[in-house]
Amino acid sequence: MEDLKNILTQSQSRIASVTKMAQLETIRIELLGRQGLINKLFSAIKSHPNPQEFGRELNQFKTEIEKLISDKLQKLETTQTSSIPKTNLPTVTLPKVGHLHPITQTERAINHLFRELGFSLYDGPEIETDEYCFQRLNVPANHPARDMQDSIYIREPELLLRTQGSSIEARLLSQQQPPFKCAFPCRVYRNEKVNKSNHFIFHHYQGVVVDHQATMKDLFGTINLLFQQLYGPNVVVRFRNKYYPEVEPGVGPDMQCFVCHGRGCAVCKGAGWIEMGGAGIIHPHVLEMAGINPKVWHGFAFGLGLDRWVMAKYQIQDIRTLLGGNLAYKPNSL
Amino acid sequence: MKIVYSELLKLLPKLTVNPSQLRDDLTLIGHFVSGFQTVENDTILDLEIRQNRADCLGYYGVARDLSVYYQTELKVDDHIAINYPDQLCDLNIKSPDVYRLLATTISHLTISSSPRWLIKLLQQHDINPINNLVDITNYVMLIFGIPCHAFDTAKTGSNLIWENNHDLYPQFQTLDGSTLNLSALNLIIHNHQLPLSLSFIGGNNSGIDQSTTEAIIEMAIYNPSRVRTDSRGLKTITQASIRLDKQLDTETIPMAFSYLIKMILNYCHGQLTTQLFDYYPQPYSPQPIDFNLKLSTDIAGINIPDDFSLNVLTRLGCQIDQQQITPPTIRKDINIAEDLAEEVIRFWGYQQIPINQPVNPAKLTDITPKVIYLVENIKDVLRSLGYDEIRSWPLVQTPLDQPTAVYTQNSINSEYPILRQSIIQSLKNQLDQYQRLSLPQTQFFEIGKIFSQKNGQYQEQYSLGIYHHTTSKLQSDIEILFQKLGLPLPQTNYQDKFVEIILDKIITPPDYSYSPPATDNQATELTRQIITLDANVSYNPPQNPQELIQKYTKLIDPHLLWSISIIDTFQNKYTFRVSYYNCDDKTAKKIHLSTFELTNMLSDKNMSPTPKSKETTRLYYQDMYLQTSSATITNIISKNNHQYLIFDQTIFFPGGGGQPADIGFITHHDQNFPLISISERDGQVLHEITPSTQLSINDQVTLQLDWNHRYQHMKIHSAGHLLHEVVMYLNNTLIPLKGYHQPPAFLTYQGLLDPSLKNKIDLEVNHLIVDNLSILCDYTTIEELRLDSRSIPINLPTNKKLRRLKIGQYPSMADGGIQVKSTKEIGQITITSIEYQNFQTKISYQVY
Repeated sequence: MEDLKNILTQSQSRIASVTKMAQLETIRIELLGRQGLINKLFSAIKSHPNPQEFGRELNQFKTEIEKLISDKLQKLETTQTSSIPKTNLPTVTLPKVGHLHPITQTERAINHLFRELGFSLYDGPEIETDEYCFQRLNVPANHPARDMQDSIYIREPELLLRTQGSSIEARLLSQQQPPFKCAFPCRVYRNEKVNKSNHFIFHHYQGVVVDHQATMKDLFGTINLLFQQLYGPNVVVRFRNKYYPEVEPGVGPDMQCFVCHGRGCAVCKGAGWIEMGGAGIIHPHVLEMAGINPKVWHGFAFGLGLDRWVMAKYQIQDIRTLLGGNLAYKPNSL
Repeated sequence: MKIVYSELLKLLPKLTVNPSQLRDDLTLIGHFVSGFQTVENDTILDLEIRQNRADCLGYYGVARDLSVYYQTELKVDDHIAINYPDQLCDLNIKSPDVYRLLATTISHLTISSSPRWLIKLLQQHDINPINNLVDITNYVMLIFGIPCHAFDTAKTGSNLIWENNHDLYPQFQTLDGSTLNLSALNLIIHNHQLPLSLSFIGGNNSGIDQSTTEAIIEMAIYNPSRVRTDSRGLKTITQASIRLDKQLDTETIPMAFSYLIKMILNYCHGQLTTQLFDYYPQPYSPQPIDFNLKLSTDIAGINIPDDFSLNVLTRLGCQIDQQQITPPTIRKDINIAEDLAEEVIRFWGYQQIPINQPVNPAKLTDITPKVIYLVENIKDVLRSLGYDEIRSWPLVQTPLDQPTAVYTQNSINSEYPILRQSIIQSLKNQLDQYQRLSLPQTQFFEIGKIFSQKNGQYQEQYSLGIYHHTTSKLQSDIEILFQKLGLPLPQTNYQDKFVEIILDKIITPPDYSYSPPATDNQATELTRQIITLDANVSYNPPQNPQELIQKYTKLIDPHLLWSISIIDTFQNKYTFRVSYYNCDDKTAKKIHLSTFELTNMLSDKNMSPTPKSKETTRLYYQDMYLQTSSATITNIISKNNHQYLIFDQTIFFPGGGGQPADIGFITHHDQNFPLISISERDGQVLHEITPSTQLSINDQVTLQLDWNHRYQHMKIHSAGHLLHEVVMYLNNTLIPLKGYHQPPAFLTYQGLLDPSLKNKIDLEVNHLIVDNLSILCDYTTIEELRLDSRSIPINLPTNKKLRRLKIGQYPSMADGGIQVKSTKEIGQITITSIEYQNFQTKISYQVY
């Protein structure tokens, strides 16, 4: 114990005589460094005849030395005009950058387009009734979408997690007076087992226009613009006849394969085209069910899935990454 | 629906387009071609026939569409004359589900193999050729889309009855020998003794074979809902059910049936012995539709000439009377004027409609719900404060508040049956994942729906959840957030480093809106852990830290650099902390050393500061029945009057997963050292003994297991897992919580298991013991485990091999315990009690 007191006394006088930072740092390393005196003394505790008391003394000694060095450092800093960085400064790093989820970024790019076209945004419940998810969309009783393996029911048969964004369309038609133009990014559910390439949650983007005049020409032009927004001005789009219960005529928009440019490859299964979603002129029965006179008002609707597009753009291999998975963002702009 | 190009040409002999053009045209007019294959100088096109186009489930319907599109001749002999004799066909229709049925009897049949062209065509449609008669029925189904069937009268008799089962027969055996359990309403064909056929699949007691000389041939259309219900209820889908569960055309039957009979007489010879039986209680009569030819122009937005419209409708087979159009009976999908307009537009060609004229961009009243603007504004502010947005599953494993939780009824992802009641549940899951990936200094948020219910009334609300690794920063950021939003600070729910705010409750001003900033930033799919390394670097004279960071940032490949910061400075010394991604430890270290020109200054935050000790070889995993072995002492640790031996290998299981540690002793020079405890640290197994000076490093010792103790716990452990399989089979909504595999052994689950199932479980689990299922234990990866497990514990390490247990064909599970090799070894299991308390079920068991 006497030794410690002696060392403390010596150290006090040495530290007091220091005039430069470098000298103080030399003493700090001698005493507090990894190979320094105090660490050596700590490793000798177990061989000390009275280890507990020696350990306590040693801790006290270390605290005093740290305080001596810290106080001296503060003095030197106030007296010196040096630009030497201070000890214990907060971490220095590049500014922390926040990020929006890739799905959000994609939805926003589309939202922006539709805001320019005078659209509002809209939303509806995720727990949906059979009426709004199927009946009001002209889906007959034996449609495959009603099968148990496709829908996740909360209370069968009347309550389920919405299987399609069109349920928001059904809500919109029944809640608002035309004319209106609305777009709605939405999350929908199917009863699928989750694995690397399948998920039970999908992200759809849908839109609806109801006005005195809404033609297939308007629809095709709008979808083409949407695809140009997403895929660039050189995208090649075609429209084909397709069946959906809630529209008549129905439309299937396709995009020319971005890999083979129409020649046919494994990605497009030799067709040269990739299916992109569904669209059409709103079926008069759907308007009637919402209390909208189909002889006065006409409308079109369209929808597309976002997940595959987002995965391709962000080079994501595993669809589970999109929701609560391994998706992460670099903290700084690197 | 497959179409062979050469077969199609028989119906459209003047078709000149090549198969490739045909594919594109079929797709454009609504028959999407999803497959296109050239085989032996022919082409097979695979069409996705839409649900409303039952007419196109045969070549005939597709050819009708194409004859309109290409304005070419459709060649079908629709006036085949068949001379039926006068003898009555003895059939009886008692079911209202029979819409139309044609039948007759043919005797003196010659059953043999089919001609080569027919065999080839059926094979091109993935149908196995059987014999000439059966093959012809399949062929006619492919051509006209209407299934037909032949009954061998030597087996069935000639008096057949079509009737709903009404519990006449409990079971039915199909052609392939499968047994189906019939219900009351199933539509059956029987002969008072046996069920011979269902509407969509034949039976094994009426089929045509080489010995058949006489057969009843029938073609029918049934109530499609009945067929759909029967086929799905009996989990049997056939080529016939796919067609019969849709609206087929009752008026096409006579033509198709005549075609069928003509082919049978040609290829199987034979003589007609009964007259034509034609049951058609309610003949179909299509309704005329008021149709203005201008409607097609109005809908398309381009001018479509009237004469074109009239031509299309005529060629489709519509009856046209002024503005009244009556569609052909085969087109059950045409019911309203818009259906007719669609026909005109699709044949005019969607490609004729311009695609460069979007909807009028005039602004209409903004009806956007204010909460959507609030959500968007919050995202922008949080992003500017350095937060990352996450999106997660809204389904969770456990409820926060059982009475108000919303459960899914049938989700096949049954381990996540509940809709989240708080967004913090999702944030915690994400934080766990980020910690597994060693992601440093995370701060993130999510905005999404949360769900609850009360007395059957369901509620969903927008909820904002935020996480920051520093609570004080989180609190100050929330204040800044609402200052920037210009809204009063709402009620907040803090939970440690998380906060939740319900957005639906926030009142926004009437003119509240949103102006999005331009953003486009990157996100990364992490496939391995982040590697974080420190480096101490000196500069003389001292440098500006920001400039140093910029300097080193440029030196490291951006595809590998996750983040860089200076975490400490002292005078001219700087401690850098660098996180690397997309690479392994070794690569990260190499880059780190070269970047900072380090030699021995490297300090690795993730690694142990001392060289890693060699792991103990676990003989108990290699051979779970090993009772003794030799070992070498590699280290002796003495600490606080305790002594621990580390060997190069061990047979002693240190315990885990509910199974206790082994007991036994260590022998050295005939002296026994009983084991006090066994534990595990850094991959090494520590064997505690009473401190002794007689043992030294490198001594050879013998390890001796108390086998009775070990074997009993192996059996109890395996019994616990077997019991778990039975429990999950009976109620897969339970969430496993804990297994305790030593007396008093028990399993606990979140959720209710009916205690009255006790005897049933007892019986089932002991049956499985008698079945002597294999119990396999091996090493696997977390990815493989995910593929074959019901669920895996959330805290499993992702960077090393895992132990896997598999009983029989049950799903695998992660398990680090010691098991017996087969269920018979367990002996007998008795379920002693099933208790339910605090939403948890505890199942206690014993092994004898």
